[in-house]
Amino acid sequence: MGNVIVERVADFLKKYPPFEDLSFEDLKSIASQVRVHYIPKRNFLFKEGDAAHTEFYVVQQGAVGLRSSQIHAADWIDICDEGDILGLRPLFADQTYAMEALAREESVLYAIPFEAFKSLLQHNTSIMNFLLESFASNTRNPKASDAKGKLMSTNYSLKNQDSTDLDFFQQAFYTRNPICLSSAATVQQAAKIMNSHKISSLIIEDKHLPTGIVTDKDIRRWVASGKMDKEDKLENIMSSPVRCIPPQTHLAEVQSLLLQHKIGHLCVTKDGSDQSEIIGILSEHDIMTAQANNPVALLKQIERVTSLESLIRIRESLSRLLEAYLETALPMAYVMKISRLITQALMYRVIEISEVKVGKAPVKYAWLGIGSQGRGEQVLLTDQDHALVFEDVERDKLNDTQEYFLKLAKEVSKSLHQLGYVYCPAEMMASNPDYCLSISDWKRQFSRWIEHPSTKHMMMCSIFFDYSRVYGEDQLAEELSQHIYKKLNNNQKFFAYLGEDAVKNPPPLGFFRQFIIEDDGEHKDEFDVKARAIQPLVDAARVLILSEGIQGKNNTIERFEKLIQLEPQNEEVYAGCIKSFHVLSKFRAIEGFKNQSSGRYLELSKLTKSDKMKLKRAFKPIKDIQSLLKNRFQLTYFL
Amino acid sequence: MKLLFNKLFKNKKDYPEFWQNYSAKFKNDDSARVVVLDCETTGLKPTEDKILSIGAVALHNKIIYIEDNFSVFLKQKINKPESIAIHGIVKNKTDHLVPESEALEQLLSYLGNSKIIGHHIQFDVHMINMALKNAGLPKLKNKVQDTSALYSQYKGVHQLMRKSLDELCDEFHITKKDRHTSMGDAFLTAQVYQRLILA
Repeated sequence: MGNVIVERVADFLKKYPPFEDLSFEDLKSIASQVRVHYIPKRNFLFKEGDAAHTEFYVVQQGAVGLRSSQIHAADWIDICDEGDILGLRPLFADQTYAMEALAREESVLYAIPFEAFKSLLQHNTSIMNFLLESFASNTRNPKASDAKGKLMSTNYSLKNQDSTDLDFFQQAFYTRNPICLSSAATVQQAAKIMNSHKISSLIIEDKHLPTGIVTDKDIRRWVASGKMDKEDKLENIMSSPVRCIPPQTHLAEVQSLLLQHKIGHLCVTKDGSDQSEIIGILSEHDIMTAQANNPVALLKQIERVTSLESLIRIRESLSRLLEAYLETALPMAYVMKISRLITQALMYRVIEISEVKVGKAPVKYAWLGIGSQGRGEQVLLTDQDHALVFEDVERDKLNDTQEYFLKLAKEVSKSLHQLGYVYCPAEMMASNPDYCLSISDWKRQFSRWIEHPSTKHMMMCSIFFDYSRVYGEDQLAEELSQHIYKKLNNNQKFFAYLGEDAVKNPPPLGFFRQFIIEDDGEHKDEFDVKARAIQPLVDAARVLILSEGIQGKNNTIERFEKLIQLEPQNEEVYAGCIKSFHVLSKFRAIEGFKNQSSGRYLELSKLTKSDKMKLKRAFKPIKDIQSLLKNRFQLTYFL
Repeated sequence: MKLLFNKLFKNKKDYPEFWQNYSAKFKNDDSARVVVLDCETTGLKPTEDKILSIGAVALHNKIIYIEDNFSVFLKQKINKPESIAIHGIVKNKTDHLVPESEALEQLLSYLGNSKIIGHHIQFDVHMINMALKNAGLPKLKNKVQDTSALYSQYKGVHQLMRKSLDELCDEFHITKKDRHTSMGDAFLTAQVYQRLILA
């Protein structure tokens, strides 16, 4: 018969890292040596400068705060709650504690003698790493914390060590010593060489520097033009300049470059610029073979297919691809970028097909993605959010014109619904006459929102300000932006409102036990990661970038990156926000794929301890950015 | 009186070695260690009911030391079916059952001179003393403290408040696990005791 006390202690420990990875024997041996401490509220476990204890502690119940006189006396460096480890310092550093540990509420701690752990540590590097990380996260100054990102990334890669999809994360494989020609060579010479070497492209060089590239396609175009001449020089048909990358480039990065520039080849040079020596060439085909089901292939298919059924199939492939990526150590930035590019291409194609069905548009128009679609931040299938702007027409034609676009929008919307993007419950869709307007009407609409700030208008702004053109005339979208920025310029009242709106959801304080969880309805006891953590970052980025008068930055990450450029003094805060945004988006995406849901509600009881730690860290930058907003827009007077 | 004393004295020499060892420990006063104990029995009548198991865990300077624990399951002749339902100790599970006398020997060696703590501990001590008597031995020499009485003190009430272990665990937010196993109850009582003396 087992010893129930030891079993009980082991049962508790095994829920948390690093114990969750221990063998049953090791766990039992540790559990049998545990000592149970009870610390009443406001009592110290240890004080700064105290001699090291021979044991470290796992919080079984309650909360222990860590603080140091070195930092701010009032600021808690960390609050350890259920399952958190503290008091590791003697294992790594001096023989005295550098912080004090105070019970913020009555706490039960499981003390584990270092002695009991020593042999385990010697044979188990992952446990050692985990303890080091816990130690580091305890001792860290929260301001300098997540911006560095080190902890988070080692954590990721550790966890995915044996993932099969890791190939994707490897450096791109390229062909060394590619065949090059001078731009003075003739097209025929080039075709001969390409034919004999069975290659699809040639780099055009000048003294070992790449000046251009000639591909199969260029030669086809030359032939098709009918004006070919045997003596035509390559410089007339080559693409120039040629996109270059340095030799150590991740496959993922290569993919997004190819997607972004809609090109099939990249030249590999010594330093990645076209001013350095050519060392290789990398083609889309190289990557295709490296990964059969890849974004480039999906993108191609989208362009080729004509039926909705095929698009549905591609949308499903995209989901599978993204789901697989999420399981790898692939940086979230790449996952989001690939999702964005393919989603945009899908929408584009849907509109193209719908237009054929409904008939040609009477006037120029632009289809706008709004909200998260406009920001290009969708990984999961979400609601449709879109709007439509068309050219001004004669008064008597306005009704007919709007009618046409509503019909088009309904068709598009129906198709998107079939693709899995369900109708927006708030009807923020181009098929709603309120959001299918002429350019002048849109300008009036935005003016009204900006000039008469109210809670409702702020909400509309936060959704419609993040528009980006999906299809149609760039000019119209651009004109609308100009109008908005003119209206916004130095409009302090408006920014005060928008700023207030951005801080309305404070971060969940960083302590899991005090998490604001939804207290009623269907999502009781769940945490709304979208509204409480992602949205505050999105809102902050928006109000800051708008107030800087920067146009054409819609994506939250890109906005923060731009802000770092503009305000290097705030780099730490903004970089922390980028990191958090990635982490939170990943949580949401994984949750969404797991439950076939929007992923916005996380069930706290189902999160592992290390997930909780990650989440907890991701909240700190939200607090920082919100106090920055409060200062900048003087919200303290306002709130 | 003198006759009785002599009789005891005479008998004392005849007590087995383990009792002599146990008894000798009381020459020193070591108050740093206390033992929290719980017995599972066949019923509530000390005259006819028997101990089925004893579980205990020790505190050193108010810290529970898991490794300093004690557990024994006794081989008993009577086994009333109604108590089996509560304790889950089934008669035919004989692998680890030890005779009462051997269990007592182990217990005394574990207890030493430590103060014994328990919830309504007088009953448990009484049951052990009955067993000792059956073995021809005197009563336990240890100091005894009842968590139920400590609780009344903690509350500042002079009357004894008869609260169950379940109620105390609820009040102190201690997760109830393994209720009605002697080991489990001892561990829960130890946690209650820790709060009563520290909070």
